[in-house]
Amino acid sequence: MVYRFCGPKCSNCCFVLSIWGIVMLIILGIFFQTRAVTVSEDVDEDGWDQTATSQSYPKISRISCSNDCNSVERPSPQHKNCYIAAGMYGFTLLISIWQKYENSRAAYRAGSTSSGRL
Amino acid sequence: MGSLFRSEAMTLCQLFLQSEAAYACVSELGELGLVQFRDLNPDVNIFQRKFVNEVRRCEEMERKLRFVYKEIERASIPMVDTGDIPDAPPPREMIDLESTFEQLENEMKEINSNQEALNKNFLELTELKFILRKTQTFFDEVENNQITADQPNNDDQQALLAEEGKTIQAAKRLSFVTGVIQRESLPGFERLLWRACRGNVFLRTAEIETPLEDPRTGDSIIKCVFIIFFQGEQLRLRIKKICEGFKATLYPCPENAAERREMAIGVMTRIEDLQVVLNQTKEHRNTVLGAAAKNINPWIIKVKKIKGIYHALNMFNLDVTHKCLIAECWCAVDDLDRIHQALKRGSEKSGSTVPSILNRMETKESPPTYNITNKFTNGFQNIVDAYGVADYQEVNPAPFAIVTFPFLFGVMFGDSGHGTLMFLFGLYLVLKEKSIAKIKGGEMVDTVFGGRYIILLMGICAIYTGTIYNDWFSRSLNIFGSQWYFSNVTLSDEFVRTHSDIQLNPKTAFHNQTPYPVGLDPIWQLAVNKLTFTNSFKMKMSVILGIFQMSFGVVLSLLNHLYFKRTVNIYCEFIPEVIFLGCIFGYMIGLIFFKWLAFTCYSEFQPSILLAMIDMFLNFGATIPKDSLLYAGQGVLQPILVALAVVAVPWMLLVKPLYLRREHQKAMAAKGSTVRYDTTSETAPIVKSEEPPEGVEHNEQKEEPEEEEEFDFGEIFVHQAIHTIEYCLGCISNTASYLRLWALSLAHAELSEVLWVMVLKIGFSTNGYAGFVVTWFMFGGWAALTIAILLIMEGLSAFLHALRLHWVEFQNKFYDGQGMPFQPFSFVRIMKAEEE
Repeated sequence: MVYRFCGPKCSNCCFVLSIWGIVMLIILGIFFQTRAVTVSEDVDEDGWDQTATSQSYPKISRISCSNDCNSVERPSPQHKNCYIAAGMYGFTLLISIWQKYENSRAAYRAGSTSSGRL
Repeated sequence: MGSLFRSEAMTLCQLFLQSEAAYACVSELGELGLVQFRDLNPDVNIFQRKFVNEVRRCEEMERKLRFVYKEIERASIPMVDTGDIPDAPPPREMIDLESTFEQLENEMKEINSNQEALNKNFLELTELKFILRKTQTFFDEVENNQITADQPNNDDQQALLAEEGKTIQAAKRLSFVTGVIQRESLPGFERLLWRACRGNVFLRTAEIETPLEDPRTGDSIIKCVFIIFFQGEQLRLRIKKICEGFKATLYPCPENAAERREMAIGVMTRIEDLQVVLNQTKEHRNTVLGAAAKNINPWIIKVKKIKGIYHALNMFNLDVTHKCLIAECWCAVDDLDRIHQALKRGSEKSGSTVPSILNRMETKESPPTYNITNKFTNGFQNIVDAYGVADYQEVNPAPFAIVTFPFLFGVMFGDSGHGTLMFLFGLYLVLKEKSIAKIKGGEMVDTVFGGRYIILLMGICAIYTGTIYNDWFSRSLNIFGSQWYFSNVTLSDEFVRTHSDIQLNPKTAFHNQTPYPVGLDPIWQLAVNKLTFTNSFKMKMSVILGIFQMSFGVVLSLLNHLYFKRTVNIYCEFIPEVIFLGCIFGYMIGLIFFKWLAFTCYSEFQPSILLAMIDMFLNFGATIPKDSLLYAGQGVLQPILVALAVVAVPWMLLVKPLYLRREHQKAMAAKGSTVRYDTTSETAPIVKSEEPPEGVEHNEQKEEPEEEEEFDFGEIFVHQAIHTIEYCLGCISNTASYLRLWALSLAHAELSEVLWVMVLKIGFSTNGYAGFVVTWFMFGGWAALTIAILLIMEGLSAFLHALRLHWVEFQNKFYDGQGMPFQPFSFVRIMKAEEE
């Protein structure tokens, strides 16, 4: 009883949000790492090198010609943040699973004592 | 076999039921739920019907059951709901049920009145207990003060207190009243006392910490103990009146401390005794209610069924001999066998020797519309029925809505990310439908749950169109690799320095001249002119989809004309409609496709379709300059198309009324001829010698003599004029209306882009160690807003617009929607209606 700080609705909500967060942030992390066009507009001007990969589609107004040939395979720095945030959602996922388990046990106990209240 | 395309073939039947078998037969029919009884005595007052007495008895039983139900709920005893539904009991069981409920109700009433009396007693004793306890403290204070007053000291304050002690000591000779009052009314009570007695009374109060229970309602109330000191008989009377007015209860309190102690002890023992009795009463009550709780649900169902049966029997006619009841009912032709069997079972059950008879009847009335649906098609049928129930055997738009509704929704909601979320939600509802169906969550939840298959399909369509638009949470996915590239020439350092934007030329910057395999090329994500491109694309797509759907609606009207043998409508309405639509709008989408296929970046000229369409009307017959020529012969074909479209309008307007008038005059000339007019059913003349389709005969064979008088040329002409104007203007305005497909998909894409940039991007653009925390936090906010704004709000808006496109733009081409729904007599329906 002491360890239940999330109700069944709250824990379910966190559960779904965490799964979504993990999946999406990992995908975004991969996009940032591979410098996919999907996230091209979410990268800072300096960190983004349009000519880095052969399959890039520069919007020319963004090219900064000063650092065009530095590194061919330099990933943008955001990908690490995405992975860590995904890990944090993994942590919240574990918490919400634990809370769901506690909730279901409490509901079972309430049911067995026939109080009828959930 | 039931099909969704047209409603079931119905027939009117006459039922002859033996008086003794009627109850059992109707009960069987109620379980079956396939017949709709017609009220045969609509003029008879509800209180003069045959079985009004039985209905009244059922209502009495329901009242008793409701009372017991409430009592059980109040005692929070779990009710057993096994979910199995008992059959309607035979009529003789009704008496047993009645006596059971009577007994139960009386018992409950007795227990309740006893308990109330005991509770009241208990409350009074508790209040007295508190009065004794609290007043004790008042008196103690007085005595303390007396002690301090006796002690000699120099302190000023002590002297003051002593003075007060003396006054109270003096007051000891005065009389006092003790009682209990609700806390809320205490301030008013105090003020009134002060005013009414001119400050000559002394009031002390103390709150009772434990809330007390109101014996009647069971609510907890907080009360205060008060004691009033005063002098004289007049003041006593006045105080008593005020106490009465404030509903304060007065209790006698002995002046003597020893007496008070004695009384307190007496009260305590009485409370203890009463507690024992109270507990026993409660236990008894719980056992009675517990026994009732086991049966209450089956009882309620049984009574409802009995009531339903007698309601149905009230609609029947009594035979002259009083031996049998006569009923009329609508039922589907395919269900006749099952109805026969049910009647047979009913007769057997009642032990009647004479079988019940089911007779098919001829009728002139239009039968009710009965579409057999399952859990998948039900949602779509509801969408159609919300606009209007189809006429009998009219083409039902629901099967087409299954395809087009989610698709048009998807066009407006095109985003593969949002579509995935919606699909997963729908999938969850569908997979868990058995456990979710049990939850009673109110109207909103039921609506969403009822449309779970629609949500599922809408999700799939949104994923599909999202893939075509290449939108994934407003971002493009580069799955196959863009077909555009930058040649080294364009990317030279010097060029970049001097130009802020580069326009990619498909001649040099396009791989192999093959497009991106599916949907929009991801390069547009980077382009400055993305919106210009997608707007043009989506606008054309909306018009194409819209005209296809409208033409399909016109084709469906042909099916209706063919089915109802309205030949004149085919020649005078359908054909000019097709010509009008095809020559203007069909030609336009033909041009759109033609330009997509025939023109490339290598073409010499890029003529505009819009200008071509405008010139087609404004510069009628003029020669087309070479730079705006789409194809050879355009100058010849276009005037012909315009002429055809213009001719179609008077064709639609005039031919049918004139033709009908000629036919009418012919008929009048040769009296007694076989041709007559049916103005009520959308005009068409019916030739008697022709065999009308099955089931429609009732519709057409109306009262003959009156029909011929009713021919009114003016009315027909006005009707036709309205239809023509509506159609021609409708074609233009509806085509424009389909542009909402583009407008909503644009709004959706922009809104999701804004959300991404304003919320999620903050997380990505934060540098350093805070970056991942902000990313984590912002993702949560973005996810919540995505669901609230983009999925729920935008989803509802797209849903409503898809609904409108179906109701107005699509269905007005062929759908009448003037029918009445088939409402069979069924226990399941009765029970559902009661629940709501």
